[in-house]
Formats: sequence, C-alpha cells, structure tokens
Amino acid sequence: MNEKNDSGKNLKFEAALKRLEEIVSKLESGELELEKSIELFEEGVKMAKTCQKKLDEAEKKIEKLVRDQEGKLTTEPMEEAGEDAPF
Amino acid sequence: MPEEEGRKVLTVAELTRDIKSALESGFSGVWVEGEISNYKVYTSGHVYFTLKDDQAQIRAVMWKGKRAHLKFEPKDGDHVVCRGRVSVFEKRGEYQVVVEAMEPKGLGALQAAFEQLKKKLAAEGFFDEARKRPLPYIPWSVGIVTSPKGAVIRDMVRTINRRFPGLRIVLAPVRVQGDGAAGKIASAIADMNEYGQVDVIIVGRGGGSLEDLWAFNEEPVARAIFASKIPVVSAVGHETDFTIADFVADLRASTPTAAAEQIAPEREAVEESLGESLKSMTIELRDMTEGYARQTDDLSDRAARALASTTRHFRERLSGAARHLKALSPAVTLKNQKASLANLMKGMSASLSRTGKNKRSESAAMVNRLFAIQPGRNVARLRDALERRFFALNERTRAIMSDRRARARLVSGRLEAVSPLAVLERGYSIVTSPDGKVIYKSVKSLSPGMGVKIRMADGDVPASIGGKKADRQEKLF
Repeated sequence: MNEKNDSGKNLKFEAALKRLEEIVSKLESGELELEKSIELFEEGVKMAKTCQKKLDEAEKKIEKLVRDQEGKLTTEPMEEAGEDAPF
Repeated sequence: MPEEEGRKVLTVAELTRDIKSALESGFSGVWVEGEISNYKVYTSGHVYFTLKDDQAQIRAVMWKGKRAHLKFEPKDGDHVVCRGRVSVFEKRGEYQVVVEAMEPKGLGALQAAFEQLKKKLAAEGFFDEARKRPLPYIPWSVGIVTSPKGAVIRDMVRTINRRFPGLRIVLAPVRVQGDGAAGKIASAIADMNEYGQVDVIIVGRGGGSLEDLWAFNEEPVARAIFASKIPVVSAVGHETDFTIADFVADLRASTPTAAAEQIAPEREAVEESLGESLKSMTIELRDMTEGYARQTDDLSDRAARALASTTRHFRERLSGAARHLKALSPAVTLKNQKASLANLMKGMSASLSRTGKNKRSESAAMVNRLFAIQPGRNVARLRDALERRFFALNERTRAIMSDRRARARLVSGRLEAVSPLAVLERGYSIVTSPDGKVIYKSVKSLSPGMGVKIRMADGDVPASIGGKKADRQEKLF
C-alpha cells in the first residue's frame, strides 16, 4: 500500500535536486540581494536534506511481480534460498 | 520369374538399382538452394539435415571431410546453395543429396522477416528518436523482464546493488526463448505498466543464436515496448546483436549488465554532488555576507559621519541665530533706544528752551509710542520656533540611526546562523593549501608529504599528508 507513492517519491527527489541546482546557480550569479540569498540558501539546505532523506530511505528489496487471487498485480519477495532465486 | 504378354517384372532390388543408376547418373552434379532444417551433426562428424522450400523437401548429408571445408557454420533456418549429387540408399528406398559444397544464400528467412518487420514498424514511427523518453535520474524501483534463472538476472541485480545500494528490483519472470516467448515478454511489459510502480523497465536476455534471440524480433514485443508508458531499456544478447526490441526501446544497452550500469547512477556520485551543491552555496553566501558586512560597516560609518556633520551644521546655525538674537535682544535694543531717546531728549530740551512748555506734552507722547513697540516679544517667538525645529531634527536623525543599527544587527544575526564558521563549530574542518587559497575537496588532490593547512573553528594549523587512505569522500550530512 505504502508503495503507491514510489513514483511520487522519485518526482520529489528529482524536483528537489533540480531546485537545489537552480539555487546554486542563482547564488553563483551574484546578482541577488542578501535577504534573497539567505532565503535561497535556507531553501537549498532544505532541498539537500530532502534529497539525502530519500537516499537514506531507499531500502534494497528484490521482489517478483505476481497476480493475486483477484487478478490484481502485486509483488512478493523473491525467495533467497529457492531453486529459482538467482541471488 | 513368370513372363506374361511381354510384361517385364522387376524385383524390388532390380527396380531400386535401376532408379539408383538413373538418378545417380542423371543428377551427378547439381546445384540446389533451400532452407536448412533439422541440421544435426553426429559424433562421427557427418552432418544430416533437410533442405526445404515452401513446396518440397529433400534429405541431405554432408560427410565429415567436406564439412571441414565450410566457411561458415550452417544452422537451421539458413538459406543455402549446395553443390552435390543425388544418391539412393537402396536398403531403405530413400534418396538424398550428398552435399559436397555449401554457401549461404543471401538472407535467411528469419533475416528477411526481420527486415520486413523493421520496415513496417519504422513506417509506423516506432523508431523515431523524438519519442524516446529520458530515463529517470534515479530509478528507485527497477522493473526487469527476463528469465528468473541463470546468470543474466543475477548479474543485473549484483550490478544495480553495487552501483546504487537501495534500489528496489521488481522481476517479472518470463521465458525468453522458444514458442510463445514473445507473447510472454510482451504481456510482462504490459503487466509492469499496469502495476505502475516501477520507474524503468529492463527487457533482456543473455547471448545466444539468432533463433534464441528471436522473440525480441517479434512484433508483439515491439508493440509492447512501444505502448509502455514507463521508459524501456533493451538488453539483448551481446554487443553485436541488434534486435527489433533494441530499435524500439528508449535506450539500447549492449548487454544486460551494461543496462544495469546505465540505469543506476553511482550512489556515491549522487551524494557527492549534493555535498558539492551545499558547499558552493555556503561559499557563495559567505562571500556575499562578507561583502555585505563590509558594506554595512561602511554604511554605519557614513551614517555616523553624516549625522555628526548635520548636527554640527545645525549647531552652527543655531549659534549663529543665537548671536543674531542676542543682537536683537531687548536689552540691546533698549540700550540703543535709550541712547536715541537720550538724543531726542537732548534735542527736546534744546527745542523746549526754544518752543516752551507746549512742546513738552508732545515729546512725552513720543516716548510712550516708543515703549509700545516692545521688540522682546517677537524675539522670544522666533527662538521658540527654532528650538522646536532643532529638536525635531535631532529626533529624526536618531530614528534613522537606530533603524540602521537594528538592520545591521538583524543581518549579522542571520549571517551567524548560516555562516560556514558555524559548520566548523560543529567539528568539521577544511583542508586547504598552506596559503589557504585552494580548498581541497578530494583525496585525489592530496599526495603524501604535501603541506596543507587545516582550518578549524578556533584557528588554523599547518599539517602534512601522511599517506593516502581511500578515495571515498566525506558526505556533508
């Protein structure tokens, strides 16, 4: 269920990363007022933290795509020791 | 052997012998072209196969010695031209072509099918560069459509985990060769889309013959890749193998392992670039705040100087006015007026002596008028006004000054909060060249024995590099 937002998570990461890059280049342009710069810096730190958090949340999982009894697609863990398991 | 009305009856052996001699002499040197099937090499080294076209087939054999001269390895499906002779195997009443030489004929049937499908799909826009989608920067969830057995999936999983530990892998296990494989692969791609929780799909298998890879040249697979809303990476066979799937896919990887490498960025590089972003932001802001700190200092100095000079200016004007006032003060005026009065009196006495008593009342009236002027009243009003204005001016300059100070305080407070020095306070240090001009961000820029300066929160210390330990860079978080 909570896997539903996987693609959303990806979008968020990429958006945050993109924003961070924007902020860095804006700051590097040196054309901003101090107040605005500090604001951007704080936002940039927040973006970087968001990205890092996503990275930390990533958790290795190997699953198999299967259909449940109602014919809905879902995943089940691959059996590590099973005959079929390639790992 | 009975004979009837001139009928000649042959034994099976005789007939067969006649056929054999007719065939073998009539077809002693023929060229024949067809498609190979049931190609089988026996342990003896002889090869048996069938040559066929869409209407007929003929058995063929190639002896070990002739086979050694072949320039290519024939296989089922190959379209070939053979030179040989027909021979009859009497015991079984069978005939076959004894092939003495063989060469490939143009494109095989499979290759023709390949070219045909490729042309058709190209016309439908399947290979247009414009429809190729970019891969996600980080595919948090990787869908893989391949066989669950064998080295291919194992290598891919290993590669992904090595490059970016933490990515989720969802495998749709399918058969990747043989009858029905194409349909299975196509529906697995559709399933991945229906499931929807993967960011990229890798479709592939390991190396093999043209027939082994054939499923990836079939239309259903091409259509499934084309219809996929999720970007698809094809990874079929080896570097030199090109399949229809490769042309349709958003990215063609030369091998399954290469596909894993191309979709998964290196986690360390991602983290490093995050750290770099933070570092450059900090440096930019530090430069900027230092500039602003200088500017605010300048401003405060200038404001203070301006205030001082304004104050001085007004003091000067005030004291000028005061001098002026003094000159106009009632005492002075009175003195002057008394003097002129005295003159008048003197004149009057003189005139009195001339004009007598009647002039006396006239002069007394003049004195009264003089006293009615009262210059002192106006002076007091003027001084009041001047004092009020000076007071107001003082208030305003004070207000301006205190506002500037408050702003400067505010700015420096926030500066402190974001200053890179605060980072140093937390125990980080910066390694620079001895003159502090170059900041070393990577161990790669350091070598043993090199002199450096370490900047800590409370000061600098010269140091030298003892040895190289690892390539890994410290993360900022």
